[in-house]
Amino acid sequence: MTLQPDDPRLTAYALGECDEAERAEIEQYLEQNPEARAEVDLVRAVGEQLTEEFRKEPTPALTDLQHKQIEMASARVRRPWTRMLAYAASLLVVLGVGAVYLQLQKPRGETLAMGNIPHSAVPKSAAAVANNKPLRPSNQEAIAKKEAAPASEPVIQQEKLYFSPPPQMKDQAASGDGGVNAPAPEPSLDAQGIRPYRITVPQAESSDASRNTQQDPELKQKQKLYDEAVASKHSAGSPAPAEVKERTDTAASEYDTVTVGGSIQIRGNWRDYPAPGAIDQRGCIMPPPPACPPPVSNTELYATINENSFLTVANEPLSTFSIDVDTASYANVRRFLNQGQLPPADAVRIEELINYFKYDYPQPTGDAPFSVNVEVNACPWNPAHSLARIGLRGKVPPMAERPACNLIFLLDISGSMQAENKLPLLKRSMTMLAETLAPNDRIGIVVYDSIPRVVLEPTPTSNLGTIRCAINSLQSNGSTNGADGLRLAYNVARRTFIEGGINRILVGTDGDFNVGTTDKDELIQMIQQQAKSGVFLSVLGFGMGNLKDANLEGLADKGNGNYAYIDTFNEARRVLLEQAASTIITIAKDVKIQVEFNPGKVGAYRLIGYENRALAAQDFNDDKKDAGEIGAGHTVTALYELVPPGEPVTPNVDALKYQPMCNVEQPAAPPASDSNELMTVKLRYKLPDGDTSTKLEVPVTGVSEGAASADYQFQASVAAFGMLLRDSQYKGTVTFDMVSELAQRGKGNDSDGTRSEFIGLISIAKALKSQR
Amino acid sequence: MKLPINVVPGDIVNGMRTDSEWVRAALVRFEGPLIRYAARMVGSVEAARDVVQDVFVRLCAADRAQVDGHLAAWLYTVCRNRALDVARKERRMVPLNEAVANQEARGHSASVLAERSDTHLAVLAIVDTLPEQQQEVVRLKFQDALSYKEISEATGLSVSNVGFLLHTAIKTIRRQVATQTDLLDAGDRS
Repeated sequence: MTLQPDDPRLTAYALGECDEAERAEIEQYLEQNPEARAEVDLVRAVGEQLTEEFRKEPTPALTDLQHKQIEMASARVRRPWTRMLAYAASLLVVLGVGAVYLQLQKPRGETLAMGNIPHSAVPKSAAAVANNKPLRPSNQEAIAKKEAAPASEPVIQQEKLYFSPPPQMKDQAASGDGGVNAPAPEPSLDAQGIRPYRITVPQAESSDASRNTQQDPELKQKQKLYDEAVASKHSAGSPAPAEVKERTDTAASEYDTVTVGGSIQIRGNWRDYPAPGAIDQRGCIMPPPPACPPPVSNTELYATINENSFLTVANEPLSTFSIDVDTASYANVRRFLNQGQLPPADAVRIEELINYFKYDYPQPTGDAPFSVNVEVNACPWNPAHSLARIGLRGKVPPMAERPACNLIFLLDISGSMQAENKLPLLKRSMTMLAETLAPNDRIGIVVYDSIPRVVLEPTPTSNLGTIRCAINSLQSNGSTNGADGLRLAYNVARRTFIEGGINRILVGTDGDFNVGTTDKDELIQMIQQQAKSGVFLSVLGFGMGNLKDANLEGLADKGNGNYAYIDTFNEARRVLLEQAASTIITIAKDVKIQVEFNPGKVGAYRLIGYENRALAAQDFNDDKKDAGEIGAGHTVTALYELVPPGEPVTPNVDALKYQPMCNVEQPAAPPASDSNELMTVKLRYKLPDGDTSTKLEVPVTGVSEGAASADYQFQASVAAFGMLLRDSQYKGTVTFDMVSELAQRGKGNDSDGTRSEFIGLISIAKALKSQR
Repeated sequence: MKLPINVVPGDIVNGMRTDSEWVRAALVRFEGPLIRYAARMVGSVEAARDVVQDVFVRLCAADRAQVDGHLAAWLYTVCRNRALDVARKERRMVPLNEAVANQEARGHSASVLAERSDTHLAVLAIVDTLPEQQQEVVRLKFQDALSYKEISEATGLSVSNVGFLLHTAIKTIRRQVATQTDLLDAGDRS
């Protein structure tokens, strides 16, 4: 057989998987090939390391009830006349099984202190069986090979099995009190003055089965320490004193006595004892509790959302906020629901849910880079209120006019990105994007694991082959050094800056940058400065479990970019392909909205969403204040719930002390204007390379004519859905059925299938909520 | 140390004549590993317990003569099938996305362990970053001590496929460990 050093058959041989014939051949080959011999040794070493590490993992167990049910199932099958034999045999089983099982559970190199139970303590027949029964030769070999245990020491273990009563100690045999073990007569001090190490656990009833004590590393550790202490007092070679080790279930059941180290017996409830491993005031070491499966530690991070409340127009006539085109929250919520989990309330940003979908707003005409579309209609979840929708749509510059792009991908290739839904997905998406850009657009790739490096200098997409090669070569390993990666990416972008073009860094990561807090402020400053001088930053989030949503969104904000979450290839296609233009091309930056309400027409209002985008009223005219960006073709939607004057609403503010409180029940002084307008929507924006803002004003008069449009109904549905997921106090009469109905009505022709997908999510959420 | 897989304790002690003893012995030996195995597929230990209980109930009803001799393979196969059914049904997932769903189950430990790998060698962290199939096979081999043949029966892959997956996995682990050692050394030196 021809073998190479890198041959799976060598691995098989190393792991003991080859049959006789193969083994002979391989051994022959190995004799002549030292390199292969080294390989085999390495493979074995890794195997042992893996086995060792795996052993540290806790072993779960079935519950008592489940054991009972299995017992019942087997009883049904069992022929009745064996039942009598079963109980008798069970004693034998207990001793025999436990003996061998525990014997073989011993890790290499440690000696579990095992010894004879004094004969008097064990029912004679059982002892006879256990002592006289020879182990089968083949198994004895296996045992002898693996264990350091002296073969001469017959091992009798009292181990609790689920269905049989534990063996009774001689003293208690007659008492028949359900198996409470009293301690055997105290073995005397051995020659070195050390009492035997013994834990006695009575089993009043079959308690939570835990095999964990057998494999529990902590317990073994303690045993090992004790053994070492004992051994160090022995002269070399003499065996440890005969000790009784009754290792039984240390779980929930009550301890009657615990005798450890010193010979003090403690009676009482296990739960009264100090923490395991601790040494209590009497000098006894507590045995550890059974190992539990690790708690589900989810290290995802979401910023808290303090929901906007109703504000009275008399007190707060101006509502100001920055626009937001991020869509990550929707994709994230979708990910949770598709996995059968309700998303945490703080992960649900309603504005991002609404903004995920495409709407039919008309293209802007004239100079302004976007169109403003307002629709007002009855509020579905509160019949007395209205719902006003403000929608913006960014211009799509014709392809010929599109400036050249200089795109730098900054990719997290740390070890955790190796999963199917992260780096491989990212690679496919990037290849896709590269194929759709114009020949004079440039793509560069910077990667960071522990060391950031440039994988591909910005290369025109006419060299598609080079770009593809570079993308395919990406491999993940190592840790994460995002801050340095970002610096490197910015340097590369500066070097290859396209004057008047689009220069943007696209960060792909599954976590955050793992920087310390002092570095984080520096990072943010750097991002802001770079954004000011024309290199923007967008963030693509991948994977789950470590998604630092709050941090990623913050970075994208400061970098004048957007934050999208990519969970599937479809989403990658959507963000990087269909929405490539909007993700990459900014047509207006620092876009702010300020709405002034007419108190004669509106008593109070509530902005749905945009909680983390709120601006102070004076920030609207302050050009130094940063706000959101609109990409080419982007639509941005905001919803206000409006309360007509005269409708009661309790604002969340204390009663005023120095002047009468104006709430809507008493209309304010006659309005300064008797305009028919409901409100005026004002917008400020800057052109991508500009520094001063331009203002747009759009007056809105009354309820729109005609029935609510499909888009409007769908948007109302999504907002209502978001409120249900967050269990908002403002949800009014919303139900999942209402959400569903509105969505159906608003579905329209759904060219990209996103609305149908949303309708699917509604039923999932409804089912999950009803399970609570 | 792990028992060689086809040595069920019942074979050792001649007392094990009745079926229920046989089932009990199987429980003792396989309960923990099976729950762990199922938990990675269904995502939670609770659901995994239900699956494993189901497996053992089926074992009670199975013809012992047929199962004897390859008990481990039988148990793991049944467990796997049940777990996948449950996972599919409850997640409403298309099989393609199983990898993603299972990632969530592993995600918590992976992310915690991945952080640890920054500071010291954690072989398990590396295992958690392997492709799903390799992970499954690695765990079956080194945690549950199944043979190639048993792994092949349980997972439906061919024996040579199993061998290849393990070979690749070990190669990857060795490479990662070497890289990390280099980095650590470099870090120590700098």
